[in-house]
Amino acid sequence: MSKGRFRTTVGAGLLVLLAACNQEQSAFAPTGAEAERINVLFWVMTIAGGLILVGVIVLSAVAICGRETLRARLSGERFIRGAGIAFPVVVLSMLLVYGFVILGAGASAPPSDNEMRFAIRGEQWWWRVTYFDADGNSFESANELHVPVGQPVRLELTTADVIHSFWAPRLAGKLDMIPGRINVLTITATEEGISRGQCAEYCGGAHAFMSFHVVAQTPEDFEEWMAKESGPAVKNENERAARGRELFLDAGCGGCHTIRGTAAAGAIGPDLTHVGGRHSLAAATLPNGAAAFADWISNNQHIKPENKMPPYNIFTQSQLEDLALYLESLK
Amino acid sequence: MRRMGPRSNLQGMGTLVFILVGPIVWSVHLTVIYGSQSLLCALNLSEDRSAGNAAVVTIILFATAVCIAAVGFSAVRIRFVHALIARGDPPADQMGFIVTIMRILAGLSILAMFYVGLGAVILPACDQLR
Amino acid sequence: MNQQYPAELPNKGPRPKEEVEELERIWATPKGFKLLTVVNNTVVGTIYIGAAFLFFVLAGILALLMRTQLAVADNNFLSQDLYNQIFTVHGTTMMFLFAVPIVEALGVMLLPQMLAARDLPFPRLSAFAMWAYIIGGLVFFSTIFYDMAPKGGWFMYPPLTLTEYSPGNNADFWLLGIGFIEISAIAGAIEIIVGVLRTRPPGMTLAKMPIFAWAMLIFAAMIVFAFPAVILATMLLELERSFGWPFFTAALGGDALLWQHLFWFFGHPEVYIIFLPAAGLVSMMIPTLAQTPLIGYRLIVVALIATGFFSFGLWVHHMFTTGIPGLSLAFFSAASMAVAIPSGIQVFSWIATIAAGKRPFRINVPSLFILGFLFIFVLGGLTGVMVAVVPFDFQAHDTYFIVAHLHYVLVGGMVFPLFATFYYWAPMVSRKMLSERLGRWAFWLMFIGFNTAFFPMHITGLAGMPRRVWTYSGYLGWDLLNSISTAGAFIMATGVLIFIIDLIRNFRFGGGGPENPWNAGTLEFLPNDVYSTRSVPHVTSREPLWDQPDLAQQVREGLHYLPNAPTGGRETIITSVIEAKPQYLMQMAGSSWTHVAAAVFTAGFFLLLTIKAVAIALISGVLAIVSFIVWGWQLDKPDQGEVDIGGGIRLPTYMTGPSSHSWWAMVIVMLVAASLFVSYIFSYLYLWIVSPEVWAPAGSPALPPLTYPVNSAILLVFGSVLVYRAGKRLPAAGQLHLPLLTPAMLILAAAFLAGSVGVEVLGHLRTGLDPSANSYSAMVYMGSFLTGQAAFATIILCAFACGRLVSKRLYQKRSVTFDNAALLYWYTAGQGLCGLVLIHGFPRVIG
Repeated sequence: MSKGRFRTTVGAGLLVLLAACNQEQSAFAPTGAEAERINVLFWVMTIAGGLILVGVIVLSAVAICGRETLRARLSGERFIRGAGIAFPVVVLSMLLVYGFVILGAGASAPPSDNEMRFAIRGEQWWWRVTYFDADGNSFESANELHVPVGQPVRLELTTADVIHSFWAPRLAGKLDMIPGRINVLTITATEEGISRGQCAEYCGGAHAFMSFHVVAQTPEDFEEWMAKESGPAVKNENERAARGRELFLDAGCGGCHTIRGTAAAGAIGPDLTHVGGRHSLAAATLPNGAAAFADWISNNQHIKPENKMPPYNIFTQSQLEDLALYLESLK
Repeated sequence: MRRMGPRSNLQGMGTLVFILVGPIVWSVHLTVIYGSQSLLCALNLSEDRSAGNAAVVTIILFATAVCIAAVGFSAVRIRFVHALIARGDPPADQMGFIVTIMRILAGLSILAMFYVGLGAVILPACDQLR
Repeated sequence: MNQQYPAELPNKGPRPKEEVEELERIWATPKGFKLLTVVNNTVVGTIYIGAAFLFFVLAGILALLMRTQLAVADNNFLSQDLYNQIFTVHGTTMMFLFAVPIVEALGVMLLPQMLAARDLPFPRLSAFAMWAYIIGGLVFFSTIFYDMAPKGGWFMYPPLTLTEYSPGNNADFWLLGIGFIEISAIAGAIEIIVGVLRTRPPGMTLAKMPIFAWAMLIFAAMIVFAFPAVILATMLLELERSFGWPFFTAALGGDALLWQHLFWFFGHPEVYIIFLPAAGLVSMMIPTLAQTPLIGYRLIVVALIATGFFSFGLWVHHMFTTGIPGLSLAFFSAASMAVAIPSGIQVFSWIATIAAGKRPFRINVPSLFILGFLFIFVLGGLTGVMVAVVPFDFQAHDTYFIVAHLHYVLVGGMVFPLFATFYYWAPMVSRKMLSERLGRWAFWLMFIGFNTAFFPMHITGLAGMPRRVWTYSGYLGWDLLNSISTAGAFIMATGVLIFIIDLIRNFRFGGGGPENPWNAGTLEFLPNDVYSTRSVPHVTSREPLWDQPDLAQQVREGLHYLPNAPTGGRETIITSVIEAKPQYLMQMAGSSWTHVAAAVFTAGFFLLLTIKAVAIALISGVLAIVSFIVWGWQLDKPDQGEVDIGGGIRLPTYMTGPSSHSWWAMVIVMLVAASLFVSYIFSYLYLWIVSPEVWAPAGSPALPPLTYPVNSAILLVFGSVLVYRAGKRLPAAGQLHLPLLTPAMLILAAAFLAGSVGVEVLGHLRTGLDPSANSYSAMVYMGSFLTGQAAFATIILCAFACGRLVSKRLYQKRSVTFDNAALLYWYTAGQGLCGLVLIHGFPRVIG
């Protein structure tokens, strides 16, 4: 039937469009164990569903304009019992079992001693990430998750305020962060690379700007990164950056933010110890860089309305640049 | 075609309930297994879980078997079950219709309960599976 | 089933002309300003449908605003805050102010016609439901213009909607406004259930009922069980917002997931509440368009019932990503699979019926919309099965894939059949038919626009776009897909616009249109007037108009039952539940201001409470109760003796006990109250599972001594016995001396009820239990709150019965008012006893 062909063409066309899409946050381009299983499940169901849809269209077409003998075959309760009861029961039973098996595959291995364990806390509207090393020491970061490829990582998901949902589509499905509960999501990256994730449960105001990056690294790179990230902020000899550092401390930024190695030890906003080394600012709202820092400090309520940081217009242009350069230097 | 006493209206209500035996048992079944599983899993979370898990699976399979048997019995022993609920037979000229839809509903309910029981065979009782 | 047409018609012709004139006088629609007092179902139905359609258009405009905002990346057409309000109001309006009301409206409009009843059994109740809904709905919607609209999403998840994160009145407009409209939906449901079960024409057994009547019966029954859960949820949330009773605050032993359980226990059936009647309409139209009886009638009845039930086992389906155990998710995944089977049955029944047509399926506007529906609904059903598979939902949940799926199911499953309905049934109330040419334009624009808008969203969602984001970054590459969706939305809107133009050009309210233009077989296409059909046919098959070619003529000439108005007022035949044997003639209420006033003041009460104008709200509430009392005072008309309806059948004109329609309505009211209370019991036990540490005796003050609950229970039992004894002492008709003892017993019983609730609350207050301390204490007082609410209604009804007794309008043979008060009393006492057992027993058992 022409409608069916039209649909197929459109469907194929859209897949082409998709290929042109950026894949950074796409469930179609899995780089994690759970996401890979689900991707296969998706295509199996889509193809089967597509065939069923075409079948229904063909049967409807026959019912409307088919030959009398064909129409007669469709026009009894026998047809309904076959196509409407027996066929769905068979298909759905198979699908149900398949779904259960895939669900069961998500069972995490019994906790072992050397399993990696990170905590992620959703806050309106950013992510507080706490890393634990093998010795149980912990340090904080924000809006970016580093994981080693090939090792299961336990993510303990909690929230500081309302319900959020942690979703890194290329690695795994989402899991909600609910007050009073700790939900554990185990992810295993299968490929190196940077991907993006986003809060999936509407959490008020700036819900649209609550994203993050996941950096999957080789275990060696990851070890190296952990060693560097757990340390204090790098000292920068650049004169402007040093002025920026003074401004940071004098203006009271440390009331909300921590920069380890300085007097700034606030716990309200994101930890900025290595903020210059992250892939983005403000929960993946801005690209990282001095210009973006300056823009954010003075203009953040326009960039990300309702976020909890007030805009700071107390700085002169050159002060703002110094401050931005300092923050950018915190690699 | 004279008017009938109040009895027949209550019996009418009974016949409606009789038609719904399958789905009603299904809803009891879902309540029992979901309730008991949630409760046992919540109580067992911190302690040794294997005993609780076995209890959950046992309860689910037992409840499923009992409920499927009950619905199956009702679908076969039509008159007995109808008399139990509505005292007496359904109106003779309505018998065919009422029994047919009651039986198909019973069949669908049995299938639905079987599907639920299947989960307990394949999946662990309390894990989050994430 | 193939009975021959009765050789002798019930009544002999020709009938006197005055009969028609009398019917016209009795059933006349009020004119001018008094049109507001109307209760005739075709008029109320038309206004009701018009209002619901208005909300469809308004919410559709909001959708266009959202699509414009999302057309390109990093857009600033709407602000973040406004967008959040708009998507909340769009969803809320479409679900609560369009989908459910328009289906109830179609029920009001079509059911009496399909059942050849003069009207639904409680005409003022449906008019009340309509006015309450229109006032509440308009006020709710207008909040978007004043920056007062709720912005917590149509699902209103706490803690986001608690005062801490949503200060201001915005969220309260949702809670009180929508809570109130739900009450109006329940009123409509009671009407529909009693209407379908008791006002069918003689001979229309269950097996001969039009499918739409089946669908509406199940629809209404689902409302009775589903809506109380969300009403309880809104009460809990409003109590927490206003008084700090911590039902949802984790730190005080509450749980955010309790809301989700209650909300989705309503919310998932809601989808099927919307879909089933639409499916019923399709099952009515297809046989006419194919000119052949429906194939698989019994299977479709089964499918409707099974869907109704199984849809209550799916609610956790919306909570797959909340982290509850995998096996729990599996139960609901299984139920989701089971519910797909009935839908399959319906789809293939329709195809079979089309194939069985004696001539090829007619392609006209209704059939185009039906075929469009079939395609869209099947696609939406298939994606529904996909998201029922738990792991896939981990990805798809809360993304645009779900947006696509739910619109395929709801727009496909409900809006397309609705437009088919508009074209198909318009001739019932309009002098002119709608235009075939404009209709085809409307269909193709809507069909192409819909698929262009929503099909790409499946891909957008899995490409990573979450729901409810007001903008997205350009580099994610979602622009093109979103632009296509926006274009589609505007194409679809053009289709709706063309339909509106068609309405303006061709819809003219009033009789005299083409008679049975589609050659349908069901009773709504009998000749109609304000009094519905002139006489009520004896039904012997599912398509009486096909099987009895002269039926229309005979009915018009008054040769069937009840060709006149023997009691001199509005009346309709009440028949038995299963076999539809005539039982009595019900006397009905006519036009009135009372239910209009009741609607205005009830709406005023809730809306004024929202803006914290407590004093005026209370005045409005009192006026509402007064209106209800005046309204009720005019009902329960005295027995007129037996009357002849033709065919040698003489029917009484008054009935008490289980045969009475009002007994059935009262039983349904009790079911509503019971499901509200069961939701409460669930909530109590649920919070205990989550936070046993705050429960008495360890985490809260010990329970009051047993004397309190025992005294409370004794009062309930004594009160119930008193009511029973009072029932034995009703005066005889015309008795001169009024026995003062009977009203005194009723008043004493009412006082016992109040005393019982008082003793219970006092006991807890004495232990120092503070309702805002933790979730346990809040739940304890909530139990008394619910019983107190039921007691309040019961006390008013008892006082009302006393008034009727004293004014000699209530006696042994005219005891419906008393019966209702007694039923509600016993129910309230029963609920109170259950509450006492739970509150005082459970902590002692676990302690």
